[in-house]
Amino acid sequence: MGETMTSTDLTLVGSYDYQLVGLSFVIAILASYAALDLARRVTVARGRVRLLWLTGGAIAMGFGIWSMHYVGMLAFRLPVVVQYDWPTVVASLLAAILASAIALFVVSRERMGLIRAVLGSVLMGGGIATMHYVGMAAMRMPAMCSYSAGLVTLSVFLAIVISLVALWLTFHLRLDTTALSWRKAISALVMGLAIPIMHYTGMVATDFTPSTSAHQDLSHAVNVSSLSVAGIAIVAFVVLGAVVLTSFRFDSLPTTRQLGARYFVSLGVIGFLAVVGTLLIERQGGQVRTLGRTINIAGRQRMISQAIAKDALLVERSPDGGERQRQMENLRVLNELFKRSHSALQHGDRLLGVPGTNSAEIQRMFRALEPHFTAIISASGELVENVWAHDSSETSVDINAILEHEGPFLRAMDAIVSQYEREAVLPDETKIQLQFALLLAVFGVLLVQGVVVLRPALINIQQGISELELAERALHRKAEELTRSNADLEEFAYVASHDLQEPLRMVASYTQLLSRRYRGRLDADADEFIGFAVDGATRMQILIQELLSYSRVTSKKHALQLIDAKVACDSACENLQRSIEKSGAVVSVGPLPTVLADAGQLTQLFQNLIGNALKYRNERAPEIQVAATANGDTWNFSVRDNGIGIDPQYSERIFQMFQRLHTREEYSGTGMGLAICRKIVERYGGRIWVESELGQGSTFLFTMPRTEGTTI
Amino acid sequence: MSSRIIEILLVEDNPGDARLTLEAFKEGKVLNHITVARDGVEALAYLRRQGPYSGAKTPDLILLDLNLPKKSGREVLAEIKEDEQLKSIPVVVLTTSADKEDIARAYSHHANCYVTKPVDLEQFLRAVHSIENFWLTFVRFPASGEHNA
Repeated sequence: MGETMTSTDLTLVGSYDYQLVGLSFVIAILASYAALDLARRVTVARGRVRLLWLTGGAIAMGFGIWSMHYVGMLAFRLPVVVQYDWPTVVASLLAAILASAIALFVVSRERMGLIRAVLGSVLMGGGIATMHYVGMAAMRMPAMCSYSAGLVTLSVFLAIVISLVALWLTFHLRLDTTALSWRKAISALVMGLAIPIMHYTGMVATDFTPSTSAHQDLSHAVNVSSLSVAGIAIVAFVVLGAVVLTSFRFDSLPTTRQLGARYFVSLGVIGFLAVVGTLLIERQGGQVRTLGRTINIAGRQRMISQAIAKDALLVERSPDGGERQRQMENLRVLNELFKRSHSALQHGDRLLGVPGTNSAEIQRMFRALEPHFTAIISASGELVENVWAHDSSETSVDINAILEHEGPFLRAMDAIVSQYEREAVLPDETKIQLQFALLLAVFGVLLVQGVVVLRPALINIQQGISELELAERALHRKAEELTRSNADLEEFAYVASHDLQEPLRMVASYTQLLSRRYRGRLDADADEFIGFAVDGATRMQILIQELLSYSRVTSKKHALQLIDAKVACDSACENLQRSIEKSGAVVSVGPLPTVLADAGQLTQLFQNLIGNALKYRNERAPEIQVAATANGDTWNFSVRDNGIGIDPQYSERIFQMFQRLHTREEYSGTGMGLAICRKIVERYGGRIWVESELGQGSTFLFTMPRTEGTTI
Repeated sequence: MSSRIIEILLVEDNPGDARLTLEAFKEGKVLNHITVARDGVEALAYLRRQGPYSGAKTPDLILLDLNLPKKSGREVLAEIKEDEQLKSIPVVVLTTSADKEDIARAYSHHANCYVTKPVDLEQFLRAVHSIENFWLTFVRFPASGEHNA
């Protein structure tokens, strides 16, 4: 055989396509980011969904790592035709998926101890290394791979170390719920840059030495075109991108979580289909190309047979030795090529790129052709010998034999070429059918996806929206009802108090007049009766007054304005001047802020609180402190006294209407004061409460919103 | 002046209130005669000596309630103060309303004084006596023929 590359000492020098190298890094970073995200989902999910996420996640992540590796392999250009054995390629993909499954399983556990981490990273790193070297083993080319033991060990070690770092980072970031966070992005960058380092170390560890003698099974070999590289990269981007995209807080509901998982699985299926389909189509395409080469060589055989005949005649007629010498050499080369091609067509030839696998029909045709071929070869061989021997009678016999067999050979070869062409139609059709089937399958998956993902999602959205609308309408109705009933109630309270007052004043006034004019002029019983009537009427008047002021608190009449609380407090003290003097109280008012309120109501609030402090005093002279402190976006006001205090169990009840803790004989009052206070405070969005111990004095506290730019 | 009987027009729809005011003045020191008008229209007719009130005397003081049938006290006050013949008569608004707006409106219509009827009888009596004291004892009115009928 006439190989031109026989030197086994020569190492093939590879070069890198840097665009593809860059692409492999990008895919690795994306895969790392997806891994971080998947880890969280697997961790959070339970039961079947967890299994689903683990499986889908492992497929996506494995596919990501694998496509990074594969794009990295394709980036490495050797000066020979490289083909890939596709079952081995699929095996390397499975190794990557398995490594990813192990990784996801380890990081999604509740705890990750050192032993577990190391064991996990050994398994994961081993898986990645397996993927790498199985992938390398898939290469089919006229060269031998030899590995440098030291560098291979280093690459495996790197794979394990990188896996350990990746597991550690993933484990600690797995519960970061934000879809796009800096910590995750940086971790993904670190992991994404580290993974290809292992890959390229592995590539450096390999030497390629040219060889054709190596026994290589080419039956499943596939050429990988740039188209499939693009396909693999796009699918990797889609699958990994989908992981990142679907994570945008869709995990809060079981439905969305499940739909996300389904969507994800169908994407995985599409990705898988695309890869397997691409490989199958490539393989089929390879067959078509091989057949093309076969037809070319078969066609060439016809030309060679004619050239041999022509050359044989020229040899005889050559005028001088030099010319004859040249023709002889020419004939020898033609003879070699004729023989080699003939053998290649029937038994295959690695360098010519023909498999030599023929149909029964072509084999039969070759058998029929064989006598003519043998006759031409032997005649041309003899011709050369006889020319050397200067046996001119024998040379003409040889030439005649060649010319005699040339015609039948040409016709038989013609028939074979036609047969090859007929047979080439089938693989080409199969390729088109495969492409069509792949398209149909992807389309089918998309349809299924529509049924299991899009439809439920749309139904959910529709239901969600209509439920939301219903709820909103109900809420609106409730709010309207509430507003109306509130307004009704206030109107009622106002009218009732107003209209009740008129007759009541009559009762009160005339019983008082009666008591004034006739006290002591009737009997003692009459005086007492009149006394009760006067007392009752008076108390009812006060009650109604307070009810009136209670109902007025929220009436729209009072516009809010910036009020100096100190002024309001001072005017409250002024109103209480007589009680203050009578009880000998000391009221100290600290610095108070400016608040947005109604002046009258703020005064009433202070007046009620200070009034209570004056009223519920013990034998000591009352000491009352009014103060305010800033607390976030509110002011905390306090009115502290040294009076009788309140049992904490009543600290809620005292703010309710008509609730009293004492009899009228002990302390007068209607039980409306604190209810009014609460209504005023709540109107301004604040709250009021009491801190007290029985006998220890009380501190009434209330909050008011802090208005922009106001200070004490 | 104190020997003269002071003429007072009380515009009050509630008989109970009217009587109470009468009782309060009865306890007073000044001799007085009180005429009660039951609504705003009647009050203005009395003041302008229309219809059955042709022989009515021009009062020295008007006590005016705000919530009245037919014509409200606010309208009556406005009309009195726009009437050249009547505007010099002092008008004391005597009402249950303590509404700020009512008070402001009354003064802007040149009410001479605004008194909220106290809830308590004692205080009411005191309020009426203060009115009596101030308007009927200390205040001197412009001497006009009509006042000395």
